[in-house]
Formats: sequence, C-alpha cells, structure tokens
Amino acid sequence: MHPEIDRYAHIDSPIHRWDPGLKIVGFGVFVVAVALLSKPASAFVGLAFSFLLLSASKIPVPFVLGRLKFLLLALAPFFLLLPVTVVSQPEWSVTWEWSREWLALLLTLRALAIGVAVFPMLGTAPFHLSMKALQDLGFPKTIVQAVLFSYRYLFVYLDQLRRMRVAARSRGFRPGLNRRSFRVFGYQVGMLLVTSYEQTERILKAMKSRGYDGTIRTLHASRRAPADWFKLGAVLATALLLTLGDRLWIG
Amino acid sequence: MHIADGVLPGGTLVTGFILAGGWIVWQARKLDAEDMPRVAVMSAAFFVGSYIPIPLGVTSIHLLLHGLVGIVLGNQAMLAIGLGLLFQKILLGHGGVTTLGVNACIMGFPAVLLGWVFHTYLAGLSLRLQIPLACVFTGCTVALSTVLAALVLLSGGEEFQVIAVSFIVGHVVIVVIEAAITGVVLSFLSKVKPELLYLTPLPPLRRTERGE
Repeated sequence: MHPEIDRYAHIDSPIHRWDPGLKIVGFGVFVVAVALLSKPASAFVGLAFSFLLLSASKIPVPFVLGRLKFLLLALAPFFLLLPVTVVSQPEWSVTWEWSREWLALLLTLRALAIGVAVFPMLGTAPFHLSMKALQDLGFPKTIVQAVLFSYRYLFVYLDQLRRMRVAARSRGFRPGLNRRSFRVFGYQVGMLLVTSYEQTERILKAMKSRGYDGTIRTLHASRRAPADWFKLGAVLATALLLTLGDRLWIG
Repeated sequence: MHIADGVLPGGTLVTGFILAGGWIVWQARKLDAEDMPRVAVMSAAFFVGSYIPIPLGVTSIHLLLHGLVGIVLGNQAMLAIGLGLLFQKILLGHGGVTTLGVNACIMGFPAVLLGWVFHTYLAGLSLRLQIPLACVFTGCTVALSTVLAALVLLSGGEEFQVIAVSFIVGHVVIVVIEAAITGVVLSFLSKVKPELLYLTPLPPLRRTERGE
C-alpha cells in the first residue's frame, strides 16, 4: 500500500470542509507557536489541542500513531543522553541530572504536537488542492510545481522499486552488509535515476500536448465561507493563548 | 541525519529556512520551464532510492544519497533534497516540518559543494581515478553533514553536548556505506547513462578536452 498523506481526504468532517488555504495558514501558525513553547505543561496543552483537531478531522488514530513511531524512536535517545554530562577537567567524570528529563519531555511533547497536527493539516484535502492553496497564498509557482511533480512520480518509482526487489529476491538475493549487496543496492538506485531521466522528456511532451504552461489549474474553485474564517480565528486564538500562557505562567 | 520537530530553538529554525529557502528560490529562478520537471522527477527517484533498507545488525538504515544528488543536480540539489525531506516527513514521519530548512541546509550545502568539486576537478579524470576519488569526497560530504547536524544540535544549549557527540559517532558507519554505494551508482551510471553525470554544464575548456 502506498504511504499517501491524503489517504483519508475523501471522508467528511469540519476540518475536511475547511478551506485549504485558511487551513494551512491556521495550522502553520499553530505549529510555529508550539515549536516555540518553553514549558512541558504548555506543550502538553498544545498536544491535547492537536489531538482535538485530529479527532475533529475523523482521520483514524491508528493511522497517525503508525506514522509517529519513527518520531518516538528518534526522540527516545534524548531521554537517555540529555541528562548525561561528561567532564574532562580536572578528571573524567560522568554525571546524571534528573532535571534535564523535563527538557527531554518538553522536546517530545512539542514534536508530538506538531507531528499529530500535520495530519489534519495536509491529510484532509487531496494533496494537489493543498498545493494549489499554497500557490494561491503566494508560494513560488516553480517550487509548488516541483512538489506536485515529485509527489505524483514518487509512487511510480516506489512501484518500480518494489518490482526490482521482488525480482532480486526471486533470483536468490538476500540483503546483507557485503559487496554483492552493495552492488545490488547501487544498481537499484542507478536504475531509478536512469528511468526517471528517460521518463522526464516523455512527461514534458505529454504535458505540453495537454496545454501545460507552468500554472496549476483545477476545477475546484476556492470559496471561503464565514465558517472557514471562524475556524481560522479559533485556531489562531488558541495559538495566541498558548503562547501567552507559556510566557506568563510561572510554574 | 534528520532532526525532528520541537528539538531546536526558534532562531535556528528561522535561520535554516532563510538560508535554504533563499538558495532554493535563487536557483529556481535559473530553472526554465523544461528543467523543472526533470529536477522534480529525479527528486522523486532520489527519495525512493533512499527508501531502500540496508540491513545493519538487528535493524536497518536508509541511505541519504545527498552526495549523489549534488553530483547529478548540482546547484538544484538543495531543491531536490528539500523535496525529499518534505516527503519523508509527510509520508514516513522522519524528520520535521519546522526543521525542513535546517535539515535542508545540513544536507543541501555539502551536496552542492560536492557537486562543484566533482564537476570542477573530477569530471575530466579517467574512471579508474574518478570513482574512488568521488567515493572519498562523498564520504567527506556525509561527514560534513554529520558535523553540521551536531553543531545545529549544540545551538540548543550545552545540555546537547553528549547527544551531539553520540550523533557523530553513530554516523561513522553511514559515512562508509554511503561512500561505497555512491561509488557503485556512479560506476553504473558512467556505463549505462553517462550523460546523467554531466547534466550541469561543464566549463568550455573541459568540453574541448573531451573532444565534444
């Protein structure tokens, strides 16, 4: 199965009905506010709000948790290594400071809050509509085009890689840390590059023959209702309260 | 190599976006409408290439391939790496959204540097010299990225010293594996599709030397 971000873009929810442009702005401000929080308590509130938005979007929680396991793996070392201090003068010593576990907790809560928020932000509309919204918000057209092209073709190459790996296994290849394996991995990467390079010219000609001129056009017309602005206001207000609470609360 | 959200201070995040975003926008202006699909489609191929799991003991690692991106795409490598990092976050959960700029700088600038070194000094050499030297320089590129990542972690404060050192130690094996596999890919491309290694323009003198 392909790892699309917009696998649940077809379901209906208040977040799905939110205008993509205003949604990206609202979530963008919220994510930045969370990244700048300085206390574990406010980061926990931020995480709770992220889960609230996730439940409003009706995206299945197991789907989200499955994607977050890599994030948790990446953060686990911080709990082990942040509290450690190594001193070399006047002699070598290693100390453990329990107070730094709060810092590790803060980092983890912030990362989880942002990680969870990405799903309602980008998973509640087809990816090309989210990118159209970015283009309408003023992002450089070339870069948005590049994102869309890449997104479209990476699934083509994922399928190609899958076929190459099945072909290798059916010929007795067992991956390992040896010279033969490195050669096979290298050839697989090389074939992906050669295929993509040869395909590009055909892709460009096919697009030009369909009227491509560098601008994304969709049948979806952006119509912003008062409810969309209300949702934006609610998320911005939460981000502001979270920031003020974090700066002013003495705990 | 990817640093997750929530770990770095705001100043580091903003600096990363300014540097990476500035470079990408500047280079994107030089891309004409026909070049952009090539860069984007090849970015997808690089992303999928980094999906290949390399077994390492009880676990497996994934290639970074940013050295190879630098050799093939030159100055546009930062855009390709930025795209790869974006998709790794939204599709696989690796890395971060707020750290896109920082991660792009950590991997992108060494990649662009390697591309420049390859095309300035290595492109005209015979394959017997070019491939081993490219391996060595790729290893240096990955090592440079590792050191940059450690320095970026240190921007979070002295509490991150042990983590930064552990990060460097943990990436020694990755430096060697990346260098080896990049050498295999370069050797493959030089036999199957040599023009892929010369997509960025060569200085006129080298074209004459190669008889073109």
